[in-house]
Amino acid sequence: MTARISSQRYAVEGFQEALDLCYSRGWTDGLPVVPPTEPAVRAMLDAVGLEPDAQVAFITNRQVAISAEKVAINAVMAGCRPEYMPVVVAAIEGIADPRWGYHGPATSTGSAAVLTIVNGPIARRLDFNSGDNLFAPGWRANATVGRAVRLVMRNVVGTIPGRLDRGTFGHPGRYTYVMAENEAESPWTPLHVERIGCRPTDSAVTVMAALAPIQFYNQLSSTAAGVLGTLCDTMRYPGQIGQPNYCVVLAGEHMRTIAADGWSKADIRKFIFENTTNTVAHFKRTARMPGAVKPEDETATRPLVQSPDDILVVAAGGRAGSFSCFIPGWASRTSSEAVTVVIKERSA
Amino acid sequence: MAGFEILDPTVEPRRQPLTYVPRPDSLKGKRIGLVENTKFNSDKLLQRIGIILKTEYGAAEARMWRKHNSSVPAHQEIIDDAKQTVDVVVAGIGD
Amino acid sequence: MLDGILFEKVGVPAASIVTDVFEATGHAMAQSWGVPEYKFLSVPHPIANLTDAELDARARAIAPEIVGLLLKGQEG
Repeated sequence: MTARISSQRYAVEGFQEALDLCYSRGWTDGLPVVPPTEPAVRAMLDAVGLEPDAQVAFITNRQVAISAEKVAINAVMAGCRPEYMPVVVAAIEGIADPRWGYHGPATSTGSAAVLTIVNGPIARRLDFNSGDNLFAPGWRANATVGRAVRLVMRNVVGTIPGRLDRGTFGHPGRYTYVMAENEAESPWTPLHVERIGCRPTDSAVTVMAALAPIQFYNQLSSTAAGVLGTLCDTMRYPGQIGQPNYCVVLAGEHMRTIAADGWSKADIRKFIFENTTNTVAHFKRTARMPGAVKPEDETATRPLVQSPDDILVVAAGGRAGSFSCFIPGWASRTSSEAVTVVIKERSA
Repeated sequence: MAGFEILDPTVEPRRQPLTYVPRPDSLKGKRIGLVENTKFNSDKLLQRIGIILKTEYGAAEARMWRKHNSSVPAHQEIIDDAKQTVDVVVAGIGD
Repeated sequence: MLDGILFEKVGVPAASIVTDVFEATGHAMAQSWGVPEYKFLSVPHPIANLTDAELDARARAIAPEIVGLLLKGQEG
C-alpha cells in the first residue's frame, strides 16, 4: 500500500519528546501513548486493507469524516496490535450509526462510555478477555481497542471534556470498556447471533452507550428465579427513568444456575421486564418524575425498559464468585440504542 | 530511538461559511416558531418567551414544536413545517 | 444549539438559546459546523427546577436579547 499519508508530521528527537508533544497537545487520555510513526500507521492500515483516505464513518451531528488514516493513528497511540484494527473499525462504525446517536452519549452530562462486546471467533483468536476480572486491566485487546475508539472520539470527533463532552462524572469505562462474551462456556445463543442473525462463525462487535457496572450478590439461590429476583431487586430503581437499553452480564456461578433451570436468554429478559416495574407514584415521590402524586399514580406502573428486547444478556465474567452485574444504558433507547456490527476481516 | 516523525491524530473542522437570510425589520405581525429540546422546562420557558414576543413586540402568533429527542437536530418534518408556517424560530434550551 | 444553524441553512432566521454552563459546548458545536463565530444566547443554569415565577423572570430577562438577535442577526 503506497497511498499517501496526509496527516501533518511532527519531528521529534526521541521517545520522550514524542510523548511530551502528545501530552502538551491534549492528544492523550491522560495515559502515555505510543508515538504514531508512519510505519506503525501503515501496518494498521495493511491489517484492515483500507487506503488512508477511506472513510470509516461520518458523524453527522459533528460534520466530521473519520478516515482510516486517523483511526490507524489513534489505534497506534492506544497500543493496539494491527490485528485489532478490524474490531476498532467495526466499533467506530457502530458509534457513527444514527441509531447510536453520537451526540447524546458523547456530549451529555449523563456520562456514557462505549460498552463494547466482542463476539465470534475473533474474540478467542485475539485474546479478548471474557472471564475473570472482566472489566479489569491485564488484557491488551480489551485495554487498547476501547482506548483506540475513545482516542478517535477525542482527537477526531472533538469529544473533549468541557467542550463537546460535558459528562458530569464520566466514569472509568471511558478509558476502555471492552469485554468478550464467554461463548465457550455459555449455554445460550451468542449476543451477535441473537441480535442480527449472523452465524456463530461470524465475528461482531456490539456497542452500547453505558454507565458503570453495578454488581449484585446471590450465593443462596439454586434457581433461575432466585438469582434473577435478586438482580431485579437491585436493578429496579433506575438512576434515570428514560428507559434505555440495559446489559445484564451473568458470570460463571449464576450462569450455570440459570442454565440448569433450562432458562433461555429470552426467558431471562421476560423475567427481568416483568419484575422491574415501578409505580408512577414512587417515581413522583422520589423526584424522578415531576408533579404531585395523584390517586391513580399508585397503580399506574412504568417498566424499566420499553421492551424485553432492550435488555442485552451476555454470559461473561469469572467462574468463581456469586456475583453478576447489570449495566444501565444512557438516557433512553429512543435517543441511543445498542448497535451490532459485523467485523469485516480483510487484508491488503 | 533516534530522531523520527509522528503523525497528527486530530482533524480540524472545516470552515463552512453560511449565507444568512435577511432579517425582518421588526417582529410586528410575524409568526414565531418555538422549538423545544424536550428537556424539563424548555417548553415552559419558550412558551413564556412566545407570549412576550406577541404582547410586547407585536408578533402575530407563536407555535411550538417538540423535538423527537434532545440528541438529534429537529427532524425534517419540523423544519419543513416551520419553513411554511413561521417567519422566525427560537430554539433551546435546557439540559 | 445546532437547530439555529440548521434553520438558517434553510432560510429561516433563528435564535438559539442554551443555559450558561453550556456556552463552551455551543461554541464548540458551531466550530464543528464551520461557523465558529455563530452567535447564540444563554440563560443562567439550571432551568429544570425553576418555579413558575422564576420561569417568568427568565423569559422576561432574555426576551430583549432574543429580539435583538432575531432582528440584527449574525452579522448585526
